[in-house]
Amino acid sequence: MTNSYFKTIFREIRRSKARFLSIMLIIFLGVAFYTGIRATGPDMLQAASDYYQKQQLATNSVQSTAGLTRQDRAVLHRHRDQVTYQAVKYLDINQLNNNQTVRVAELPAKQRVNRLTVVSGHLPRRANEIVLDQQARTLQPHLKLGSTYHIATTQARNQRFNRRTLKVVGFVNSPRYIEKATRGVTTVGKGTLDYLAFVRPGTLDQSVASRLDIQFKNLAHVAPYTAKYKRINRANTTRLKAWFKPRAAARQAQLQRQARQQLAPQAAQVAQLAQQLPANSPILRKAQRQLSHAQAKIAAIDRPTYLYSGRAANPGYSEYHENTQRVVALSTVFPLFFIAIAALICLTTMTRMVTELRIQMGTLKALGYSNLAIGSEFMIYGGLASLLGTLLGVGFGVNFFPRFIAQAYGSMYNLPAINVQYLWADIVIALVIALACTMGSAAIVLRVDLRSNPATLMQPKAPKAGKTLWLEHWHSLWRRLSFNHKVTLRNLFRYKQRLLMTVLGIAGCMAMMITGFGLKDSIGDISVKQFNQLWHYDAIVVRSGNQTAAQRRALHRQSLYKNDLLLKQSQVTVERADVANQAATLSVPQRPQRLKKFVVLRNRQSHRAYTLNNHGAIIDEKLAKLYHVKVGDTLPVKLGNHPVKHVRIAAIAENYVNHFIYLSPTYYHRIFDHHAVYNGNLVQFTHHGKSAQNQFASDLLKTSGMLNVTLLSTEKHNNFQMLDTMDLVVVIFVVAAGALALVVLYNLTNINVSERIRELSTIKVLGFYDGEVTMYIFRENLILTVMGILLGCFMGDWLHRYILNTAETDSLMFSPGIHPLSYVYSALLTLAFSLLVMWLMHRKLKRINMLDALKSVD
Amino acid sequence: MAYIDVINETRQFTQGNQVTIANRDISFSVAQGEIVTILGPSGAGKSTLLNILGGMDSPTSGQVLIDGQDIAQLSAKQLTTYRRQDVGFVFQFYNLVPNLTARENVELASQITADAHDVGETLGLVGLTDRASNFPAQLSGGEQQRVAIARAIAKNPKILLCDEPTGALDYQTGKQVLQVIQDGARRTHMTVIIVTHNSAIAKMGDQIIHINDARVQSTRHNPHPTPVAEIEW
Repeated sequence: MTNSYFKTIFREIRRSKARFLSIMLIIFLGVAFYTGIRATGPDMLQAASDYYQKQQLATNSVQSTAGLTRQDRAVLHRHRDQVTYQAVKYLDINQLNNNQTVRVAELPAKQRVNRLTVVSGHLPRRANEIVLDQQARTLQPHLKLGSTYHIATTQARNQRFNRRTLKVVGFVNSPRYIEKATRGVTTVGKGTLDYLAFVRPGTLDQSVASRLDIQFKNLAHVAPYTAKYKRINRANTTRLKAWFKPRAAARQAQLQRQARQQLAPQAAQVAQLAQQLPANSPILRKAQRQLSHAQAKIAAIDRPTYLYSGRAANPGYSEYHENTQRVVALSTVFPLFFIAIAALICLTTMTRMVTELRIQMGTLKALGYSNLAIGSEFMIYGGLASLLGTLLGVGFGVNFFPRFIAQAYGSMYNLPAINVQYLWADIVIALVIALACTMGSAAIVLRVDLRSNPATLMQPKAPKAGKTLWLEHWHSLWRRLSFNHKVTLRNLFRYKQRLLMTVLGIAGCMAMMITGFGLKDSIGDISVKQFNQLWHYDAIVVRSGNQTAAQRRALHRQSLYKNDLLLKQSQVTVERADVANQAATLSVPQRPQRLKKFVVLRNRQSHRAYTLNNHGAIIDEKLAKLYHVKVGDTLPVKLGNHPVKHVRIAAIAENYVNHFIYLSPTYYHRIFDHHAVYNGNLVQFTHHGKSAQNQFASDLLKTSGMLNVTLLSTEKHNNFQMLDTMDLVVVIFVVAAGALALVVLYNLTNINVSERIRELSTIKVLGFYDGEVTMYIFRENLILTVMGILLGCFMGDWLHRYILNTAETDSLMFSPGIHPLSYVYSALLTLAFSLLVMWLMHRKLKRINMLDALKSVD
Repeated sequence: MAYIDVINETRQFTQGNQVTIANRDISFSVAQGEIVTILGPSGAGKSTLLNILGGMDSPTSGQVLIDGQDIAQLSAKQLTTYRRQDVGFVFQFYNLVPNLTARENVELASQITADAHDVGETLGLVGLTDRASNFPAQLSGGEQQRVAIARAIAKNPKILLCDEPTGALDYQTGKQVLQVIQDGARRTHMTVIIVTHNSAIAKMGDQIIHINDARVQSTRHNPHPTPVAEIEW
C-alpha cells in the first residue's frame, strides 16, 4: 500500500467528518452504556467487599441471654488459629430528654474486628471522652466535636454508668451498619435504635460482655455475598455452634453456683436459727420459707440461650446486595439492546459509504489495486471509527456510569466511593461488536461490489427504479391523496431497507425510553400502592401472648390511638422441594370481617375485594407465582415446630413487599389443630407526628409483655428513599436512550438526504421554497417516526416486562403496569428529537448548492 | 423594449485567494418570444450565465433585468419565487425524480405553479401521452429528456432555459428533442435560451450569442433561423 493510498484514507475521513464522527459517536454511546452499566453492579459490590475487608467486618456474632463471660472467650481463644474475635460490652438507653435510643458500647483498646472509621476527630483516649455515630449528627445537628454529651435515662440504667457526662471527640461509622439510617432493634424506648456511641472500657458497670464479634480467618479473603462465602459461612456457623454447645449448661451451673454462694450466709444463718429456736417458731418458719423460696429460684435459673448471627443480621447488609443485583439485572438485556441499535445504524452508514465511493473504487481497481487494498480502505476507516469510539466509550462509560449510580446509592449507604474496574470480558465483547458493526458490514457490502469489473464500478449505480405501489391499485384511496402524499408514500416504500432500519432504530430508542419510564412507574408504584392503598394501619404491636387487660388499657390510653385489630402474626416458611424456601407472615385476625379496614385484600386488576372464609387462605400474588399455584391448590407451610401443613388457597391478592398468608380463626384451627394466640395488634393513628409516634412506641414498650412496636412510617420512609435512588438510575437510562435516539435520527436523515441530494436539488430548481424542500423529506421522516413510535410501544412493553422479571427479588413484586403518561412522554421526546433533527437538516438543505448535484452524470 | 436585458454582468468565484472570473461584463438583450442560442466551448462561462438567468445564482456585479425587474438584487426567497413562476429548466442529464412516473414528474412542477398548463396536454405536446405512467428507468434517454421538457413547459414559464439539452443524446433523438423545444416555444410564445457548444444547433436561434473566455464575442441576429429538421451535425 502506497503512501498516497493512506493519504486517500485520511483525506476521506477529513472530507466526511460528519459521517466519521457519527459512527464514532454511535459506537461511543453504545460501548459507554454497555461497559459502564455492566460494570456498575460489580463495582458497587467490590466497594462493599473492600470496605468489609479493610474494617475487618466480623463474619459471625454470638450473644447469650445471660451475657458472655471469660469462659466464653476462652472457647474462642482455644480456636484462635481459626478465628479473630473481640468481646463487646454495650448498654441500650433511651435518652429521656429527646426520646432517642442509643447503644453505648465500650470500645476495646485494640479493635480486632468491626473497626470503626473515623469521619472527624479521633477515637476516645480518656475516660471522659465519647465518639458518636455519624447518624447522631444527622439527628442532632447541634452535636459537634467538643460538645458535652450527657447520658440521662431511667434511674436503673443511669446507675449502670460509671460516668455520664462526656466530651464528644469524634464521629465515626461502624462497618456493621452500612445503611445510613438504620441501627437495628432494641428492647428499650421505641424499639429501634437511633445511633451508636462508643466510650472507653470501664465506663459501663457491667461484668459480662454483650456480644462476641468473630471473624473466621478462612473468610478473610472470600468475596462477600458469593455462593462460596455462603458455603464456608454455613460450615463455620455449624462449627461455632458446636464449640459453644457445652457452654449453655456450664453457664447455667455457674449462675446457680454463684447464686448459691450468695445465698450461703443466709443458709448458714437459717441453720443457726434452727438450732437456737424451736422448730415451730414463726421467725424460724419465715426464714426457712424465704430460704427455700430463694433456693427454688436458683433451681429455676434457666439454661441461657446462645444466639448466633451472621452478617446478614446487620441491617442494610443484604439490602445493599439486593440493590446491586437490581442494577445487575438492568444491565443484562438493556445495554445489549442499546448496542444492537447502534450496530444497526453503523451498518446503514457503512453501506451508504460504500455506495458513495463506488467510482473511486472503480478507479483504484482500474489502476491495478487489489481487492484487498481497495477493501481495506473501508476496513481502516470503519475500524478506526470503531476503535476510537470504543476507547472513548470505555473510558467514559466505565468511569461515569458506576460512579454516578453508586453516588446515588451513596445517599443511603455510608460506604467509601467505588474504585472503577475494567471488566475485560465486557470490553472485548463491546469492541468485537463495534468492529463487526463497521468492518463486518463493510465487508459484506464490499463483497458484492468488488466482484464487479472496474468499468461497471466507475459507472454510477443505476438509481433504483420507481415502482407502482400495491396501494395505487386501490384507486378510490389513491385518487383522494394529494400529490405530495403520493410522492411521500412512493418514496417510503421505495427504500424498504431504510424504512426498516429507521423504524427499528426509532422503535428501539422509543422502547428504551418507555422501559426507563416504565421502570420508574413500576418501582414507584410499589410504595404508593403498598403504603397508600393496601396497608391502612400505622403500627404493628407484638406481644408475648394474648392481650392482657393492662396491655389493652395501655394501648387505648395512647393519645394517638384511633382503632386496632387483634390478630395472630407469626413467621412461617413455605417449603417445597422445587422452590427455594420463602419466609412469609402468617396472620389470623381475630375478627376477619374487620380486617378490611386495616389491610385491603383485593384482586390487582379488577380491584375486587376478597374476604376470609373458613375454607382456605388468602396469599399474595408473588408467592403464588413463585410456587406456581392458583386458587384451589395447596401450599406447604411450616409453622414453628409443627410439621408441614398444606394450606388451601382461597384467593390470591395484590401485594408488592414480602409475603403473607391470611387465615380465618376457624380455618387456622382446622389446619394447625389449636386455637390461635392473638399476639399482635394492627393499630391506626389519629395523626402522624413523628415525635408522637415515637412516644407511642416507647410508652407501650414499658408495659410488661410487650415485645416490639413497628412503626410503618419508618419503613415507608426507607422504602421511598430506596425508590428515589432507583429513579435516578432510571433517569440515566432515559437520557442515554434519548441521546441514542437523537444520533440515530440524525444519522438516518443525513443518509436519506445525501442519497437523494439530486432529487432535492431538482425540486429546489423547480422553485420549491426552503420550507417545502424540507417538508418533502420531513413528511417521510414523520411517518417513519410515528411508525417507530407505535412499534416502540410494543417493544418497550416487552422489554419492560422482561427486565421486571429479571430484576425482581423473591420477596418483591414490581407493579407490572406502565402509566399511559410514560408512553406519552416517550413519544413526545421522540417526536421532539425528530423535529430537532429536521431543523438541523433544514439549515443544511438551505445551504446545499443545487447546481453541483445536477451537473454530474446521473 | 427588450424582455431580457443583461447589462455588464460579471460573475467571479473566489476560492481561498484564487479568483476565477466566469462571466466578464456580459451584456445583451433578448426580445419576448425569441429563441436565443448561446454558443461557446466548454468552460467559456455559458452555464454560469444560464444559471444567473435562471435565478439559481447571482452575479457579482451588473444588472439582469427580466421584464424590467433586476433579478440581481433579489433575495434568496424572491429568487425561488422567480424560478417557480417564471422559469422552466431543462438539463443535460434530465434530472427526473426516479421514483415518480412521467406524469408525476410533470405534476411535480405544475402543482407549485398558479397558472400551470394541463399536465396531460403538455405530455401530448412532447408526444408522450402513452408513456405517462412509466417510470424514468423504463424510458429511453430521448423520452426522458422530453419528460424534462414537458416538466419545464407545464409550469407555463416566461423563460425556458436549456443547458446542453442534447448533450447526452444521439443525433436522431437530439433532433427530436430540439424539435419539441422549438414547437413548444412557438406555440406558447415563451422566450427560450439554449446553451450549446454545437454551432450547428446554434443556427436554430433567432439570435446567436457567442461566448468565449468569459466574454461575449459576438451577438448575431438570425432573421431566418434554420428549422430543426434541416439542421445537421
